[in-house]
Amino acid sequence: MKKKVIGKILFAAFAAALCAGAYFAADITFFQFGGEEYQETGAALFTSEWFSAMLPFGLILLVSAVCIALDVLLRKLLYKKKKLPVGKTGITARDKRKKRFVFGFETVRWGVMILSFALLIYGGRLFGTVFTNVQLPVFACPYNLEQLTNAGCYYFSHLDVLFSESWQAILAFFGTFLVCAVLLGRVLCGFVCPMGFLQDVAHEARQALHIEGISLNEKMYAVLRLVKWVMLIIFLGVGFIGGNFCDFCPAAAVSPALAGFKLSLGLGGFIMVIVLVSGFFKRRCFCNVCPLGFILGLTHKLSLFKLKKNAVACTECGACYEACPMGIKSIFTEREGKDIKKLDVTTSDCIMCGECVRRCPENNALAITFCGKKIYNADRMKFMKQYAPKPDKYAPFRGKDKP
Amino acid sequence: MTDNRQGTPEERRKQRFFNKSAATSVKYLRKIDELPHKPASLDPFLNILKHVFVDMQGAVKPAGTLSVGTYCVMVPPELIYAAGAMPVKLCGGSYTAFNIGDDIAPRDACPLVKAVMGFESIGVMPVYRECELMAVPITCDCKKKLAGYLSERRKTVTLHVPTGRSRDGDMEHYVKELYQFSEELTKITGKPLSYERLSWACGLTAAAQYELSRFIELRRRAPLVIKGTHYLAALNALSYTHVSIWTQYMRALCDETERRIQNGEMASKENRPRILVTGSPIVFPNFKLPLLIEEMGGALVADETCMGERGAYDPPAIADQTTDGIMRALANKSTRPCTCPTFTDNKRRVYRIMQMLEDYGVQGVIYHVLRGCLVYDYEYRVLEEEMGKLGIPIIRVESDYNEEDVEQLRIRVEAFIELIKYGRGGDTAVRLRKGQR
Ligand code: SF4
Ligand code: SF4
Ligand code: SF4
Ligand code: SF4
Ligand code: SF4
Repeated sequence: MKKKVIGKILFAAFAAALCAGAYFAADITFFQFGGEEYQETGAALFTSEWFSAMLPFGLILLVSAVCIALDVLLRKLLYKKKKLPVGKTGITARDKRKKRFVFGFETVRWGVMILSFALLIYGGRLFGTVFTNVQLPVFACPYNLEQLTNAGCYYFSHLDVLFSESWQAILAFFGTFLVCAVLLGRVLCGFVCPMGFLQDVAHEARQALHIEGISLNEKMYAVLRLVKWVMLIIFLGVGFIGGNFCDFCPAAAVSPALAGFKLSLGLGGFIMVIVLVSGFFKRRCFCNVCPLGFILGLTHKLSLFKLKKNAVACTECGACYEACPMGIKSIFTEREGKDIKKLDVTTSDCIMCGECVRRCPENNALAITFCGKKIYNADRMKFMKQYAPKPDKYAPFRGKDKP
Repeated sequence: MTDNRQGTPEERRKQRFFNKSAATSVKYLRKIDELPHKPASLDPFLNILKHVFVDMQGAVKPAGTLSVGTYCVMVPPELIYAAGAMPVKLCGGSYTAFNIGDDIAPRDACPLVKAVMGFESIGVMPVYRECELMAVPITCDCKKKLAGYLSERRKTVTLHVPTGRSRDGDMEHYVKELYQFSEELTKITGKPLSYERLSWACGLTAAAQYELSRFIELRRRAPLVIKGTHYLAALNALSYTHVSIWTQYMRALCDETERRIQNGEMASKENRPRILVTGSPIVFPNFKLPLLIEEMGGALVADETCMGERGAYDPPAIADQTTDGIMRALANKSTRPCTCPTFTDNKRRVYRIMQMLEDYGVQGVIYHVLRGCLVYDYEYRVLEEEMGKLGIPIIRVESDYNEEDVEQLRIRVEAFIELIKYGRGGDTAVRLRKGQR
């Protein structure tokens, strides 16, 4: 009982601190760079000016790397002292076993992510700002004035500004948002958002180093959900009381810098470090608390992309839940419904990353559909190929495979 | 056979045991061997069974590999391979050992556990003797008491299996059990757990499961391409074989099956009623039920039993490539998809069987209950109800580890097969199979 009360008080304090931080964010500056004035064009790539614009981002990466290294060291010490189970001490490892490359949805997703990352940052340079009226609802900071499109996050976090615009602008904003949300929904999160991309890169880095992460369970996800509500209130509301979400938005540190725009870093830089470090240890941690993603997910019932499950084919192995970066448990537990062979298990949290389908070992148990057509289907043979060596490499006693 | 009058009474008893159990195994091996349409690549599997149960040798493995006895599919073999040892599934099917165990265990205990206790008490079978460690998951009551019995004699680890699976805590609990198990393994092999080893071991079993999946896919395409009894024998052999060796054999079997499908050579005629067997484990040499089904004119197209396909079916899905990630994947795959009736909620078993009906065009289900196996008996009613809704006939057959009930079983199985052949069941299965394609 007591623990619960303390937890609640701590959480309230945390939320209050976050709100206060949001309000006074403009005044807290840990790195002042460039002027407060808008820069009209980005610096040309790899010039000294570009490098100086990149400096803040470089610092963020450096600090994140140091944080991660410290964390790993600390855990190693702790585990040794406490004599925790053997497995836990092997925090980092190398693996010589070569994995088989399997082309699939995953490959396509990475392709699209890299492409959209590049386009959102440099697209404007190549093609000019083509879609001036499109407010893509992702965190691609429009401080980078040379974007291909505008980013919807600005108006969402500055609803006061939006409502002082002309009605056409307001209509265009909501119009594009609705079209994006209905057509794509959180597919934008899984495929387009630069913040999502960075977090996935951090996750892949951990996979390559085999450093142990933090696996969350239901209870911890519930805490993240609470944080998300706080974030949402700040995101939508801070503009009305004179604050500015951009002052501590983590995304501000990324795309403008890469595009060569000097920007002073406030609290956002700190938060970006948190995003990267937490994203390293827990896949897409920030996405779990992201307010914009939440708004995008609200229309999931209308979205053309759906996650479908065949409960009869499913063995309830829980692999999908284990793999899901958003911790959606219902995809694994859902088993009753009108048509048990075509259950709709899409939730507002789902970013359509396809990880669950990739890790599902049962034919047809899970599928991502677009307009009712299956575009990615769980397949046992494909699943096994991810893990099994090539048949000509089976004999393990002669090869150097033997440990 | 040596002269029975030599040696001490104890030695004579052991010799009698050898002779008797070898004779039973020879008989059943011959029956399996004589079933028509045996693929040539099945022989290595039968040789393994012969090696263990007739020649009375240890498990088939590279020299110097330690054995760890396991008593359930919920012990992840990956962990044991990672420690440099190999798992041997010791659930017993021997009638001779059962007779010895009958005096140790209470009357109503299940024959499988009695057989294990019999093997343990007589202590002559090399597969049992050579095990450095016994791993017993605490599932049903008999296994629980078995763990106690074994721990008095052998080095034994118990793995506490959660009884439910819906809470995250259940799985996390099993992860802890696995860590403890791995520590015990390290004590006997001297090889500590590491990511590299785990990953290597997972690759090893993944290769086997890749071939198994290949076989399953082939069989879904042509359920009649192999006799179910032959397939059961191949999977029983896995229990006593180092997985890398089994993988090679399985690959050959897949290749042969593929050729057969191409040439349209089936092992049973199209008009034979397709039967699915589920229920208590069918452990060699207790093969009377599958043999009866095929002798009586049925085609055993699918099995949902622990020493059969299910024993190696569920692969670990490693979503996080770290030591802890693999341990979680192992705990996950060992408990969550498991259709063992010892879990409180087991709807997935019904679904699993429904899926198999569809995949193999099954026309009738035979529910195997070993006398005294309560948990499986409980689930019969649930399954009967569901099968009733689908219009698939189902019977429950109870058997014990002796040959006295064979005739009675024969009559029931025969009647059931006749019922499908000339009565209901047929069109439902056709409908089911068509509905899927
Ligand atoms: S700082 Fe953040 S919220 Fe503001 S415009 Fe940039 S990305 Fe959007
Ligand atoms: S949840 Fe937020 S940060 Fe994550 S991908 Fe979506 S919009 Fe980007
Ligand atoms: S991974 Fe597939 S089989 Fe496993 S629980 Fe999820 S949907 Fe079911
Ligand atoms: S449910 Fe599947 S597609 Fe959706 S976020 Fe989770 S893993 Fe990705
Ligand atoms: S029936 Fe249950 S306890 Fe027995 S081997 Fe199978 S999973 Fe284990």
